[in-house]
Amino acid sequence: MKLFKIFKNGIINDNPIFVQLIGMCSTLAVTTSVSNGLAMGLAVVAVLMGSNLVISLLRNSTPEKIRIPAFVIVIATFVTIVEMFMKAYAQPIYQALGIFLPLIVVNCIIFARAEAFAFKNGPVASLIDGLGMGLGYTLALVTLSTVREIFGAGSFFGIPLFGESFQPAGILVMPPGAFIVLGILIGIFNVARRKKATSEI
Amino acid sequence: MSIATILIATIFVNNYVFARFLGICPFLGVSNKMETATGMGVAVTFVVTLSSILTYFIQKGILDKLGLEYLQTIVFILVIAALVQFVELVIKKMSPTLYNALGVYLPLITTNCVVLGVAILNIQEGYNLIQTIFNAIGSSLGFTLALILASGVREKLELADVPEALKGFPIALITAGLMSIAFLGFNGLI
Amino acid sequence: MKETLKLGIILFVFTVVSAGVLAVSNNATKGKIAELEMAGSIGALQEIFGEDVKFQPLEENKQNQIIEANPSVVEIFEALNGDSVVGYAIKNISKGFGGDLLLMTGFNIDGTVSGMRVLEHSETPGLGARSEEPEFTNRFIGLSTADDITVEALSGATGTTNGVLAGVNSAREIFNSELSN
Repeated sequence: MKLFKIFKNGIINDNPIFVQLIGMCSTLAVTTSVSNGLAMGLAVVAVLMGSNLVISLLRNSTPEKIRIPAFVIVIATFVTIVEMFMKAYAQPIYQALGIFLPLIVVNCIIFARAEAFAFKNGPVASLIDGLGMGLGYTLALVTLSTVREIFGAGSFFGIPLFGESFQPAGILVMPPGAFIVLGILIGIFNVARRKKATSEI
Repeated sequence: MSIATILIATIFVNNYVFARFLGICPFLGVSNKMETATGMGVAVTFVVTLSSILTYFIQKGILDKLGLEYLQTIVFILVIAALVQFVELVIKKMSPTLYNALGVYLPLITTNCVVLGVAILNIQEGYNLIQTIFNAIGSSLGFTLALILASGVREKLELADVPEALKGFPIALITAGLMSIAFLGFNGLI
Repeated sequence: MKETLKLGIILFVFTVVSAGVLAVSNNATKGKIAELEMAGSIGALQEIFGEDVKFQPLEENKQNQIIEANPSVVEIFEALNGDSVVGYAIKNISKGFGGDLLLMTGFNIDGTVSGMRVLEHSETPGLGARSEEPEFTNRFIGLSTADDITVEALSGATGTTNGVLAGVNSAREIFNSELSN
């Protein structure tokens, strides 16, 4: 499989959030602002690339029967490393992401890629797959948080966009807003995919 | 915090699905039929409570005593994975029908954010053992409640006329959003 | 049996390697993390009391005694101008809307609040997170410790405001009972 195709797969055709519909918990929770969404996305890219690489390198030395606990150990190790370095060098983001940083361990995306790709493919391909999926995830997060931040808080990346008199739709930065905006975004993505499919026939 | 406060907080005010965004994947995957929703809820309650107790002792007895707090994430998830395997074996032996009904959802409880989330939150909030147990029970009851409520609505939605693009996940998410608004109303309770 | 043993050993190796990697990571980062916490405290203290004031932790026995009676307290500082104590600062934890709040409240010995800073929080950006801003923290300056402290709430963030007030008043009570003589 050509590397570019693998990369593109993760971002569009098989986008973890919009197409595969996995990794939802953190998507909904951290997208209250674009900076948080971006930070979480990049953290997941780091963990995905690291775990995919290591699991791929060890795929021949890992017996199938214990591959699940092995995945868990590798993924949890990378998550903990990312946690530590964020706490030391990016404190405000570490606090903003809160409990969802350690929860990256149970983010289905990482597990799914380990099982479906890294365990069966070479290290370079796995690295690219991790990068593509991670960036696809980041793209989804940034899209969702852009909508929520602009219309829910009247700012983008912390920079206020509108004047004093703008009354943002506060509900968007609260839990219900997350569910509803994500539902609508997936719906839009579905329409776009359907249009593309019919136009290719 | 008193037990009653913890229970009300976890089931209603800070409902783990509608307010804390934990357990979304199984929530979306299992909440379309009320039977599977209830079954999943019960299994999760069992796993969450047991793992909360286990991880509490491991944290206080081993990690804290040896200054190994940074191993929390990895130790907790390994304990949970082992526990779920164990629960699977027990259910398989004791009730093959239940085992078949839950199917692939049982091992998936390992990656259910609620389990790891509750375990970590127990430590972060500084609960003692009793509070930990009730936090575990309350959170899983809240999760079960969310599942059952959602499945009730989704079963009806199957028969309704939903636009093509919104069928399945999108409408489930929007439904969850509306229910989340309702749960926001509990905010002033405690 | 032999196979189970082999599988067990492989997993054990994985675990040991991972624990080793994590220990190395921990060592690499814990110095920086401790540094940041200290800098955060000192920075907040200077903002609250002004540049000319020096700080030192409260005498160890007294501090431990207060912390034991009030577990939400993390640290207590004395503010000194030259050799005389001009105030105290209490760092404590309170419950916010999205998680714990780490607060630093400064008190002058004349019984007024010298300032308040939110050091750590997990509040909603644009709402509760604005408790960090001077527009909110300035509302605390000069208030008397004789009565319960209240300020105008952050719009759209009563949960966060109440959390801050709870923490500040808890600090106020400790100041009144333990430190203001």
